This record gives sequence, structure tokens and C-alpha cells, in this order.
Amino acid sequence: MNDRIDEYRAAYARLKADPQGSLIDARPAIFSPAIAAQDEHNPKTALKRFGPQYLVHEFTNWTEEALAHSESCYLGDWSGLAKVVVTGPDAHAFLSWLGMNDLSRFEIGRIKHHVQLDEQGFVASEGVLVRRGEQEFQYTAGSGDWLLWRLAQGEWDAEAVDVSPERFVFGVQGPRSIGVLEAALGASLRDLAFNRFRPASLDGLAVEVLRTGISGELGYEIHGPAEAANDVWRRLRDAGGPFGLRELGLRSQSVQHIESGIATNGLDYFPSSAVTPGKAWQFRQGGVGGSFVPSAFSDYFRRPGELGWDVRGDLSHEFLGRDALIAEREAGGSARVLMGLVWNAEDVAEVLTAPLRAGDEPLPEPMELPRLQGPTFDTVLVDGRAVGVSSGRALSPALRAMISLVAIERSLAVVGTEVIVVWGAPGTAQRELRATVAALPFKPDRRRVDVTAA
Amino acid sequence: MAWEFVSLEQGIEQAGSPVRLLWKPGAPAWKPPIVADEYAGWAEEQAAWRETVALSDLSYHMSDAFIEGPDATRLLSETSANNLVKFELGQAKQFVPVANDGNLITDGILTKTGEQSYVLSGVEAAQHWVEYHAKAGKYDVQISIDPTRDFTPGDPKLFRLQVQGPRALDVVAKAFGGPIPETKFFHSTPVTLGGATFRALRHGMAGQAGYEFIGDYADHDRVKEALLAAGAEYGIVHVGALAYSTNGVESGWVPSPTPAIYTDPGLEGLRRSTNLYSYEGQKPLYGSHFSEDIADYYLSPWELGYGRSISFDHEFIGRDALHASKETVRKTKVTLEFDATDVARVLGDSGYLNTYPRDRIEVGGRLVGFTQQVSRIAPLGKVLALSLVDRDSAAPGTQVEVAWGEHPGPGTSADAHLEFPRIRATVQPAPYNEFARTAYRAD
Repeated sequence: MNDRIDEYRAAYARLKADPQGSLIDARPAIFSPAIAAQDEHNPKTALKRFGPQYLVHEFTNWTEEALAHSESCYLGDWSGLAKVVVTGPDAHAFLSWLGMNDLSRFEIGRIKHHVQLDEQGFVASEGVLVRRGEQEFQYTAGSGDWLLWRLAQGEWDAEAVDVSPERFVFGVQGPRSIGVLEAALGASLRDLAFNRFRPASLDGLAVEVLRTGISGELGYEIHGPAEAANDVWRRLRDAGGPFGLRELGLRSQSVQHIESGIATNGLDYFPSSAVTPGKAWQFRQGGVGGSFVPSAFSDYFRRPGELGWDVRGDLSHEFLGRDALIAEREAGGSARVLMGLVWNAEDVAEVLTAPLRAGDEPLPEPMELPRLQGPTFDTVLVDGRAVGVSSGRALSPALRAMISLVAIERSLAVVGTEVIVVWGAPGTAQRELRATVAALPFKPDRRRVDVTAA
Repeated sequence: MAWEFVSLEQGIEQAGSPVRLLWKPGAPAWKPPIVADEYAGWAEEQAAWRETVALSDLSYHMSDAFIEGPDATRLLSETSANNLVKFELGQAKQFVPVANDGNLITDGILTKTGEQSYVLSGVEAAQHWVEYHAKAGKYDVQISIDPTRDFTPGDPKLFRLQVQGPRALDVVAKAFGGPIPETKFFHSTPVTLGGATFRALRHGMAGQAGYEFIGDYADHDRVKEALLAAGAEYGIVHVGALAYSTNGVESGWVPSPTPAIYTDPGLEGLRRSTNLYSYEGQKPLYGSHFSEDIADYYLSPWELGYGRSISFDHEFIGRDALHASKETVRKTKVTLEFDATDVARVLGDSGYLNTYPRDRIEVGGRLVGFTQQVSRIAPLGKVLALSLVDRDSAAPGTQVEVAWGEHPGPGTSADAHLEFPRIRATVQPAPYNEFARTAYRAD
């Protein structure tokens, strides 16, 4: 792969230059830097696009893969995320201003979920921020373009460099993830606490190990140079064999986010940066599914409180969107808040089995399993009144339930509230499906589990 | 259900002023969404519509307002300077709405589609203007707006395909098995192709005869394929987003004037009903010509040369101010030809160039106007700037200088010495293509 990295960089640059172009002619297919290793276990030979990359859709089958983070662990690929390295004397001050999080005690080796707002207090970008040094940070997210744009608009003595094609990002998540990584690294990770990272050596290769928790379980990320991605993927896969590790395909990749109550940019909301010069280039324009009909594109924007992130807002420092956040808190918080929905199993079964029933009743829109790989927003009703929007519907084999996230009016954000989800885009044979409001996360939060004793 | 609505007025209040909201140095130049940047290459595509024939797909970058109802004609007449009395079905007019101060809201293409129905296409600001007055004045109309595909997902309602260039009529005759029934310029006729029925509008781009075909988007692919297939033997070139963006510079059409809606206290209602995340709330302003007062960027329809679309035989918003300003407006639309040596020094002597800066135009260091769009036109080997200059600096041949750079915005005075490189330029008329054709013919 070493001699392929230039090709990989060039492909990334071409893709970025024309993200909406036609495949092959204008826009090269860009695969994970680990595609060779992944394709060794791709009997279904299906690839699907995630952000700027094509990933293996399914390695074995989706129920096994969607269960892996609950029962054993998975090896998944997020190399397609944007990675931006921010350096310089003002790097810390800039990031502190750009995000609502308190970075005053953000030590080297720490990780934060960095939430960046626009002037109106809508989420413009969010991702994982790590501090590598006094003046060095990396932001890993769906897109780094908002950060790059805002930095260029100010007078900061700092520099941001897009290193996306240079680095792979693998996730190893689930209760047995620590065993896999310790076996592969030949070193203990017992002292690495949640939201901390550190450099490590994998067969002599310099990598970073991050303890993160997008699965809601004990879990890690491995970041390293893209040219070593195939070797590292094989190494982790082999090390994981005795631990029941499964390779995670795109088909099941986002089920865990819904179980753990984590909203995803481009799936559960669109960032307000989408209409600015800081808009993400990585996402191909496609359709948005579901029954919700927006009155304007801005109906897909969300405030931090509507995504469960209000607690990250720290008013003791100056940041972009602070005035809006203060006004919102003074008003008693965002009008809607993020909750879970458990869909009625009988009503779901009605949709799934509709094509098996005789008759000429029009068929409802199909319900893809475990979920649709794209944004869908469904209208949620109480007493016939629209009270919120559901997103990210996913069949969770761990919970044995169809679940989703819902941004719902605050007064109805009560566990047990009965609602109706309107199923199917306007113009299709829509169905009204019953659902019940649930707490988030759906499963107990085990991200911070103490591993020092074991 | 409407989600949360943040208005343009709230955005202005938050930012402190309209200019503070909109001034965004370094913003990338707008370009049409969805269509590929280039098909044959931007330079070759620019050549196609003047030398052979070009197909442009305009289906995605314009907003369409569908306006229908017993009061539709009265509404459009009272919110624009256009005379709508003589308006045939299928005809299109350049729509010229003005604010109370007589300045332009933004123009658009207004098509009459029925006795009580119209489609207004183009930049959404003019459509929001009409929609606002429809509600405020309780007109009996229905308006639905189908936005651009800049970020709205899914297919648009209408397709819009242009065939332009010296061989355009050959391609059209080939596609339809004979010439389309003769119609006047900007009039349309129904046509059928491959089972799809749609309208053919007589049109011209960059001064070349051609047609614009408009129909149900469901028929987009087959109509486009049929036109491309018919054009193959004439060497039809599909125009990409890069080349398409540059055609207005030659045809003298200012694509994105600053709507005159930000300062009038009487338009607070409009600003409160306009979404902040819209053209009016987001369209970046940038360049070397900075002013804290957004009204300095407003343009009069007189300055833009829209006089022929203006009629005073009806009552409309802004009528008196527009009437009074006919003789008093200071600026006029011109095209600047950049000096080749200075272009090579400052901008490089080749490569794609298209941007929409408000750049200072000076004579002897004195500000005489500002640019609207700057493009490199490869077949001419020139960089042109569609601009507004004071009338006394508008004579063809006048030598000016353009300050090329990005003023950082609020906090730095408008006339701060920022050491922007100067590009010498020669004033020529706008539209440039008409001038160029006659001038070259005279040569």
C-alpha cells in the first residue's frame, strides 16, 4: 500500500474537487484504505457509500454484525471521516471559541465531543476533538469544512490542515474490545480511562488508541497512517478471532448509534453550515426519506438541546452561538428535546408483512432492515397534531425492538407517552404506526466501565 | 409541520447590521448545483455556444414560484414595474420588482401559464417579495415555491434545458423532425418529443438564437437524451457548471444584485417572514469595495438597463421613487476588459476564473463604481468584469483600475490602505457580446 498512498491522496483531491460528479469520469470511486483486507471477507461483494468512501455492506449478516458490540466486539471502519489537524499559538483559543464545550481543563491526551454552533445556536458541526500537544489538536467529524471556514474568517494565529486521506480510523467496540487490542498491541490498556487517548505501537507502527463510546459499550478507536490500513485491519481481525470479533459492515453500522441515543449528522439532522461557505463537501446530494415534509431546509437543523447535547454547553467562556444558547436556556431550554421511540411490534409487522397478504390494497413503503442507510425523517403525532420528528429508525437485535430517535415537544418528552409515527413518504400508502416514548440511551450506558481490575 | 423559524430580521439583529451578517471574505464563488463542473472542459464549453451548439441543464439552480388564483395578475402587477396587461399564454417577461426606494429586489423570469396562473423563476428573493405581499395584502392567490437544489434534496418540479448556438435551430429541427412553429422572442409553444409534452421558449444566451425547453421533471432524462442524441452530428456540447456561470458576464445580466430589502423600516414585516437560511440571509458579499451600509450595494433597474421592462401605466410598489430616479441614478452597467499584462501578473494568464466580488473601481484613486462578476472568457482570451460605474466614467474606452482583493470587513475602514493589487481595465458597453459582435464585424 505504501506506493499507493499518493494515488489515494490524488483520488481524494479529485473527489473533493467534484463531489457531485459522475462516478469514474469525474469522481473516482474512493474506497477505504483498508479495502483490500476487507474485501478478503466480502462474500456478498456489495459496497455502499458512506460519506466520501465506499465500504463493505455486510461481511456475514446484519443481525450478527448489529449484535457484535453488545455481545463481543466489532471491527469497523470510519476512515471516511474528515480529519483536520489544528496547530499554532491560537489553536486552543480558536477551538474554545468555535465550540460550546469548556476547554479550559482540556489536557493533552483527552478527548471531547466538540459541538460547534452557528450564531443562531444551531449545530453547525460536531465531532471528536483530541488534544495532542499544547498547540496541536485533531478534529475528526463528518466534515471539517465549518472549522476551516470559520478559522479563515478570523484573525487567529493558527493553522488547520485537512489530513483526511492520510489517516485510517478503525473502531473496535464492545465488551471484549479491550482483549482484542491488548492482544494486538501486546500491552495493557487497563489504565486508559474513557475519553482519553495515547500513542501506541502496533508491531512497530505508531498508532493512536482512543477510548471512546459511540456504541454505548466499552470501546476504542485506532488511528494510524493510511498506508498501513490493510495490515492493521488484518492484524486486528486475526487478534479478534478468539474474542468473537466481527467485522462490521455499513448495513449495521448505525444501529448502535440509535441504541446509545447518539444523533448523527446527515442522518438525524443536517448541520446549519449546509447553507454557508463552510458546508460539507463530503456528502452526495440524495433524497431524504420519510413522511416529514419540511417547510424549508432549515427544518432539518437542530439546537444542541434537541440532540441531547445541551449539557456540553459551558457559558463561562466566549463562544460562537453563546448568546443564542443563553436565550434558549432563559426560555427554559429548547422547545423540543431528544428522546427514544419504541415502535409497536404489531404495527411494524403489519408493514413488513403487507406484501404477503392477499388483496389489492396498495403496499406501504418498504421498511429496510435493520435500517435505511440514509436520512429519513418521520412525522410524529399526538392526538392528530404534529409534535415531533422521528429519525434513524433501526431494528435492534440486542433490544429485539424497532427503535428510533425523536425530537419531541418538551411537555411530551415523558417516558411512556403514546405517539403515532406516520410511515411512508407523502404520496405513498401511508400507515400510522403506534410508538412509545423511551429514555435514552435505550441500553445501560457502559462506556465508562471500570477495566482496571480485570 | 414548520420546525423552528429564525427570520432574516433576527439574523440582522444578532449580527448587528445587514453587512455584518453578509460580509464573508473568501467565500467560494457560487456555482450551479448537481450538474457536473465540466463536460468537454470549461473553455471548450464557452466556445460551443458561440461557435457550434451547447446544451445547458438549468433544472437545479433556480427557484420556481407557482402563483395561482383570481388575484394573481393584480398581485404581480402591484408588486412589479412590469406591464402585465399585454401578456400572452406561454410568454415570458423579465420581472422587475422594486422596493419603495425604487431599487431592485432581484429580477426573475415570469411566465404566464394560464389565465390566473404564473411561474416566477430565478433567485428566490423576488419570489419571497411576492409571497410576502400576497399575504400582507390578503390577495386571493396560492403560492408554492420549489427551491433550488443547492441543498434541498430530491428532484425539482420542472426541467429546463437550453439549446443555444449557431447550430441550435438545426439540432432542434433534427430532434423534433422539423422546425418548431415560429414564435416571437420570449414566447413559447407546446411541443412533443418521445411522448413527453412540454414548452419550447424562444430564447437567446450570449446573443445566440436558441430555445429553452421547460416541462415536468419526470420527463427530464428522456428529453435531455433526445436533444443530446439529435445534437451529436452537430457536435453539441453539454455545458457544465463552471462554463454556465460565466455566460451572464457577456450577456450583461447581473446575476445576484443585493436585494433592496434590508434597510427600509417599512419592510420589517418582510424581513420577519423571510427565513435567515435563505438567499437573502446567506448570500455572501465580498471584495475590495466594503461599506458598512448595505444600501450602498443596492442597484436601480435603470442602472441595470431594465428600462424596457418598466411601465408606469399601473400602480405598483416603488412607482414614484422609480419614476423620479430615472434621470438621477448615478451609475450605469458596463463591462470592463482587464489589461492582459495586469491579469497575468495578478490573476495568472490562464485557467478558470469566475467570482462575484464587489471590487472597487477607481479613476485616479477615486471610487467610481464596483464590480458584480468577473470571469475569464477563454474564446476571447480576456477577463471581463460586469460592473456598475458612475455615468461620467462609463464612456467606452475610459481607463479605470480595479482593486483586486478581499476587504476583511467590519473593524477595518472602507478606505483603509490595504495594498490590494490594481488591475488596469478599459470600459466597454454591456452587454459585451453585442458590442463584440458588431465591433468584430466592423473590423
